[in-house]
Amino acid sequence: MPIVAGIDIGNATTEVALARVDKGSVEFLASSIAYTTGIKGTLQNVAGVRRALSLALEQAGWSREDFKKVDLVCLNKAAPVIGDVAMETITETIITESTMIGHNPSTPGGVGVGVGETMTIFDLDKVERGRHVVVVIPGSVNFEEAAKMINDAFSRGIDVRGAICQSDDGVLIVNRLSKVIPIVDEVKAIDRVPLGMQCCVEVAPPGRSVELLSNPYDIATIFGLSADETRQIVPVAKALIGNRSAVVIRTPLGEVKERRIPAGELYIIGPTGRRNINIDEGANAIMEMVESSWPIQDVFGQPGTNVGGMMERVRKTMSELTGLPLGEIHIKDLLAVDTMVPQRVVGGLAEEFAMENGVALAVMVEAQELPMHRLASAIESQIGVKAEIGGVEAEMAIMGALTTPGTSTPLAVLDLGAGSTDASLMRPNGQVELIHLAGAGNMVNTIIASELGLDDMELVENIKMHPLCKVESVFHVRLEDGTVRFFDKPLAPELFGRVALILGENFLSPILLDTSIERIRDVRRKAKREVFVTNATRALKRVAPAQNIRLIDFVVLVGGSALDFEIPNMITEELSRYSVVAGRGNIRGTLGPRNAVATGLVLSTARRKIL
Amino acid sequence: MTWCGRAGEFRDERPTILLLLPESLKDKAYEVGTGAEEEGVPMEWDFMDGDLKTLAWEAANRSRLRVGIGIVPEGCAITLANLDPDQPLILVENGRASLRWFGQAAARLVKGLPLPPMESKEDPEENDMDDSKVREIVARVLRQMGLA
Repeated sequence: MPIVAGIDIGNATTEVALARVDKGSVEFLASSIAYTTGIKGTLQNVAGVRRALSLALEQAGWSREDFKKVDLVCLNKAAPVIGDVAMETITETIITESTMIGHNPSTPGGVGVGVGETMTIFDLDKVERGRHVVVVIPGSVNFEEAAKMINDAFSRGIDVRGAICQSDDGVLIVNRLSKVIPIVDEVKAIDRVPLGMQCCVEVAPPGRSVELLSNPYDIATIFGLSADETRQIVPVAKALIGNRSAVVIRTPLGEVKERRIPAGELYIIGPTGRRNINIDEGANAIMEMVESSWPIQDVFGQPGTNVGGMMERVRKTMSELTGLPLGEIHIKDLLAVDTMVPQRVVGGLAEEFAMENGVALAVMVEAQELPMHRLASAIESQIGVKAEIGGVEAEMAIMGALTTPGTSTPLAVLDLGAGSTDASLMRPNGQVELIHLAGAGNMVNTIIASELGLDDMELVENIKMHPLCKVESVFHVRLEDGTVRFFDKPLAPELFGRVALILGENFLSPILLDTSIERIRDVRRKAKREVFVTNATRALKRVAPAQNIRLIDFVVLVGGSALDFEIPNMITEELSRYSVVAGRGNIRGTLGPRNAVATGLVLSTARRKIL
Repeated sequence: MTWCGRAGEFRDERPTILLLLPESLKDKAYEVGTGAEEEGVPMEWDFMDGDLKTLAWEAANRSRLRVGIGIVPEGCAITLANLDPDQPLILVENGRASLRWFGQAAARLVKGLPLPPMESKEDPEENDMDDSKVREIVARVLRQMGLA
């Protein structure tokens, strides 16, 4: 009685279904999963295959290295799509080299607006009476000296209107002054504050943000700007929106520079010819263009722009991986999602960031054929088991998905992976439709990373996969749904007051960001919805009879991202509007959404062998 | 308005953080107080002799905000009234953080805000790590991971 292993090599994971096949009857022995090594379809995959297979052997009660037990390995005939998806956020970069400080020190001093000429605190005794002054206090002056020097200046009739302070001393200084003035503190680059210039300091009351300095016309009023100068100050005002305290210093004309790197145009080539769309028009307009150009033959970016650079990098990477010439690499699908990107403001003095609009793009590259046969012979020589390429992936996924209790044909399978979202539909006559679309789990990571300004991809993955909580005391946390959990041992002080991820029963990991739990949750959910709900409907429309999702009865969600704690619910909710039964698959009634293709490979092999 | 003073000297009945320290360290109290003041939370101090953990725990239990700080020449501790007396929330020996940091951290505990980053007083001569330092860092990382 032969032992067959169905092996599905995906972008992120390699899955194995191990079964004893006897005259068409199939007895499953084990299922296992391991990380895919290398890019899907390359010879590096063998290591991951070996690992996944030995895990399955162990589960079946054999020794890990006992590969001889397996009579046949069936690999999925991956569709000729390299599912590795390239993503990049395209944004218009504005560089403002004016002098401004806009940040949220946790405790600025005083409240109100003060306008005056900038001057170091050491020069206060040289100023004549009646001058309006904003003092600049370097870290070398402690708060008591600073307060005394300002009080002395007050008593000499010098009108100190505000202060910019390097240390975290704002409140301490104001508490010791005879008159309340606004003080912006924690300004790291204090030595770069230009002296002898007109300056406005604004500190908003707690719970409010600056009103004057975030309004270009108020800045114009304060400094007497012309219409042209006001136009130049707009990026400054925009960067200050939402800050509790801010400083704007009028620099003489010529010191305000602005540079724009255009996001660029996409050239989408479809059956009706080439159509152009500017990235600035946003994700909706881009996606409409993609729909109206379907089926896409290729996509290019305008040379010399952000998007042009991205498209060329994608082609180059894919060409290197496959060994195909650049001209044979074609981009067959594209998903655009609107996002916000924090951009460092060059010329700011306290590491300011401004939120810029951006568009995250995922593209799907199609090459001629993946060298799966090369992989099969590598497995034969390195592991010592006969390997062959099984049936079409789409058909395999459906056969596997049909082992979910409660399903029947016509059935559509949505495979939510890491690199791509795939849909396949089996018509009652057995004909199978298949589509691969760009954008899946990896793109969700990209969007979360860019919106929250993170570069730690492990943290991003954790934010995607785990619910949040806020540590409210050393003994309790409030979860994102509002419920409270009590701990009988005190939590670590590093967690106190922070937003944290619940990684395990008693394992909290703090997120060291100055961001509210609501915002992180919103970013996470929006990223998932815009990638997976958009792609689910897009993919189903492509495979549905007459492009009508209502004509599909059952949709089964499979793949790694179907394990997510909220994505399947989002899709179920959306598809219920089309009166489609949709839900997370449960392969063989026990495996959840995993192992569909591997299971399908075993089943189809069993069927073929009796015919 | 007074932000820092000896226990019993405040004229008004504001709730405060309490700092307990031996009389020999009297001049340190003000520095801790400025940290709390910058955060907008008043602090009182009083003299008491004893070991670090006792001082901090006693202070927390006498404080109306239930947050106490203890200082001895060898180190500082912050704790809450409802914690185990033997396991203060924060205990730093050999002065790795500034006194002001302790005032600020105690005030943030009252306000429910994350603790400020510990500004390590970097000594350029001590850049090469000795074993105890490595051990300390490993212990801190383990604590952060919830494993110790």
